[in-house]
Amino acid sequence: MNQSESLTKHWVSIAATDAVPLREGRAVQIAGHEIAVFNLGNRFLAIESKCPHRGGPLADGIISGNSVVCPLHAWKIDLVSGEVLNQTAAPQCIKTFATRVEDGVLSLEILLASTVAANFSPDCLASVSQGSYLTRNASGEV
Amino acid sequence: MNRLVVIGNGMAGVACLEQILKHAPKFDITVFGEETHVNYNRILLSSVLAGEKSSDDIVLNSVDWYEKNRIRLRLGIRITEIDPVAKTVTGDDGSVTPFDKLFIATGSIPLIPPMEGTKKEGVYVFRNLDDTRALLDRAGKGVKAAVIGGGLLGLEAARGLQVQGCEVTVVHLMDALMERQLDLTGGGYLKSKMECLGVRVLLERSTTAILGNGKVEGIAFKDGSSIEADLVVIAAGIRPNVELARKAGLQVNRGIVVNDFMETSHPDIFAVGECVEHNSTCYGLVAPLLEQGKILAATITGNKGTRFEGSVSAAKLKIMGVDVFSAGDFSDKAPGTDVVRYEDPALGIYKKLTLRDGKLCGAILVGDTADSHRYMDWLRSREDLTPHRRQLLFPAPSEDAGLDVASMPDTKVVCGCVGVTKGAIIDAIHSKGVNTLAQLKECTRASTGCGSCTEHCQQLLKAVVPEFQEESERILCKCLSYSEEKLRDIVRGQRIFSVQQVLDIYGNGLGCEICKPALSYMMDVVWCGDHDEDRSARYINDRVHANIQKDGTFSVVPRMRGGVTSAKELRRIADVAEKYKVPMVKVTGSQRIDLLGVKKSDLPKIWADLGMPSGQAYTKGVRMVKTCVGTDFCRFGVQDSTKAGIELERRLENLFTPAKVKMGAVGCPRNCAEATVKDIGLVGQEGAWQVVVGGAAGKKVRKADLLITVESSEEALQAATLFFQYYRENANFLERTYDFIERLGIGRVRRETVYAPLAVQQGLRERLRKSKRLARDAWLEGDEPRHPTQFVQIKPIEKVLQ
Repeated sequence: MNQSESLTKHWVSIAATDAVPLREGRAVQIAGHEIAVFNLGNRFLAIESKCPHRGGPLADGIISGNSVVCPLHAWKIDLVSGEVLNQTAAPQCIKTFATRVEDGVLSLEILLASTVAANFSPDCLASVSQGSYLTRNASGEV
Repeated sequence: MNRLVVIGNGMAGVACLEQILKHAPKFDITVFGEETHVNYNRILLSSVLAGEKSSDDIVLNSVDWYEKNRIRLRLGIRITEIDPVAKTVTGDDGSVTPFDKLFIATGSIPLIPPMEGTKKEGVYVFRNLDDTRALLDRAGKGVKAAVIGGGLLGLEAARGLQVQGCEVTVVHLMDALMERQLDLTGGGYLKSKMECLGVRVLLERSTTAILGNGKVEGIAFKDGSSIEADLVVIAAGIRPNVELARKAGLQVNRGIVVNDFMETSHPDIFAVGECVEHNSTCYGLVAPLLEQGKILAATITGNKGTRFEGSVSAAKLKIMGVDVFSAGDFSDKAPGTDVVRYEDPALGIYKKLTLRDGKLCGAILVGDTADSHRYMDWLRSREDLTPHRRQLLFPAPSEDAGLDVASMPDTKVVCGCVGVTKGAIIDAIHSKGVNTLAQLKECTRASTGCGSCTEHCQQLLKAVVPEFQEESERILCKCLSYSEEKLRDIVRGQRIFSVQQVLDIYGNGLGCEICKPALSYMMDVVWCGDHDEDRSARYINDRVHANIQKDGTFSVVPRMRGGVTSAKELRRIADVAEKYKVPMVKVTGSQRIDLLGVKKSDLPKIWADLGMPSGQAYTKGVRMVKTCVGTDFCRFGVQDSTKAGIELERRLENLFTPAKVKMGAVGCPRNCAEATVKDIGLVGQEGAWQVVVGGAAGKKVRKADLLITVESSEEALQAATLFFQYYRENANFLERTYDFIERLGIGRVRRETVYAPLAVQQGLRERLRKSKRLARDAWLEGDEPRHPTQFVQIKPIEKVLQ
């Protein structure tokens, strides 16, 4: 991605909500991000799936309240703020992503280059046709 | 000698007798009890129903006690008439007993609201030990039970029945549970706690009929609806049992009217307990009844002086995990009432205090009753709380842990149920050598009633006993304030089958990376695998049955029992390594082969291609049995260690353990497969096997302790598997055998395994057998994933192309 381009936020449909089991996480790749999505029962939360410590896959961590615990060395990361909670070193933070659920479909809010965004209506991503920058997975399945 | 007759052999009557025996004039005493049991602790009937206590555990006065005190005990006899002029009582056995003094302690009887069908088979009340036994006989898995009444007794009965396996519905007339003790909000919190336990609650339902043809089939409500039921418990309240007194012409309102000295309207007849009405109030809780007993004892023995001045009413729900306390007048309607309130819906905690003129009038506590003693003291003392206004709900933490008990006067009653003072407890510690809570209970009976004073008793022990050692209970984590041992009891006793249920009821509802895997294991071991496994509570390794590596890939170690393989197996492993471009193939220290750097999504395919079972190299479970070549080829081998090792692995494979279990079997003391530094080792000798346990060669190096020496291979396997199950059931999660054995001592381990009574050994074996029956090779899940996205990344519905 060209860093000089301006970035704008867009909702991207990910999957039916039941693709992420209760109190577990799953990884999803979108626009170069590896994102971990967690099902907390009453809401979904999403963060970058890479532990700031040694890059552990956070999607594979155990949920502890509103945090996830990295499966490699048990760093604890707040799913709402992205903050590392249990390390005394300099405060660190990872990216978080807004989530929403509509008609049983989970969407994430992603920053996309404006040239990408210019080609579709952000409110109705699912209707974007082939050939644009957004395409629908043929089967519509996960 | 004056003849004293007592009608009623319950807690109030006998407690009064105990006091009478302390006074000087001796009576010739006869006690009539309608029940056939000696005096027992009625408050604990719900614990009997819930299976936490046996009926023997709740006996307060055994037959010996009556004999020793020369009390004539007549059980199973109902007194049908009191003649106040001739001064005799008549029993339903035709006996006529004369008295000089009589006291009535007939207690109360269940209130049966007007409805049809209460005589049907399967309709019960819950008042005495016989009712409890009848309910225990009828209750069972899948039995549908309806409890009419959502008060203290109804809820306790409901929970007890549910623990016995019933599907329970509580039907309540009012719009909130325990409305006499709680406000609407408190009732709401209680309702969700009960529902969390799995008890269904129906509010504002007026029961009109019990349905069924001779036998209960359901109950019908005024609104026309109905529910199915196989058994019905009516717990709609109690009323004083006053018929005898009324017939004898004594003054009776709701209860038998007594004055401050417990005297009735007849000079030689007295009354005490739930059947009594004092100052227009009837009491149904233990503490005031015991107080009445003391006063009556003084009156009847001619030591009349102290008066009964009423008592603050207080109630505590006795359901483990559902803490409810209520005392005094909690209504906020009266003018000039200040209400202090705290709520945390996520934790299920609700506290409400009412104050008038700076004094506490009432308290409601749901979800956290730790401070109930403080509020009871304030209610009794009528102390001006203005200086404490900032600390009403959250007391300032005390710098000095002993201050709380040090500030109590010796006369202060610590145990309200049994009436034991601080002075009496200290006296028992000094004069009777009491050191532990159990001894204190036995010696003084303190803390044997509702149990809410346990904390204070413990603080006193700690402050007074010279060499008091605090029980080395380690709390699992901050989500649940219980030790693992206590939690195992809770899970077993309260029949809890899922991690989330434990967290919801006994914890903060959330859980963390420490407690969730520990509870997962606990469910597995307590229920021998017959539980609701919650994958989200387990480590990633246990969700995908492989060991996560530093780069997020996984390692695959197939089972290779005893380290013995074949050309065919090795060929398949080689093919898999090539086909999936496995970056590293390595022989492990456990005589197995490790395929490292495998992608999560390849795992199911690799397992299928390997056609070998999981080696459990990723989990807290049975790893392997490392063996030497034993007698087959070795010049020195004196025992067939290969065969024994493979058999041991086969008997234990696929089971989970508190921490990993590595085993070894060697055919001679040269110890080539290092059995003496394994969790369990078999060491072959000439004509014998040594079974050794608790060895380690990891962060710590420890030579294993000898468990037992036996002659045959089968005996060696039996001893090893016995220890294995004992370790599974008693170790804390993540506690390796070597720490476990150092904590317990090998002597105790021997006593409780290989030297344990046969029945104990059989129990261990039976539970191991049950677990083994339900254990399966985890890699079979490759063909039938638990969840569609278990092994794969989510592919977004919409793709962003960049």
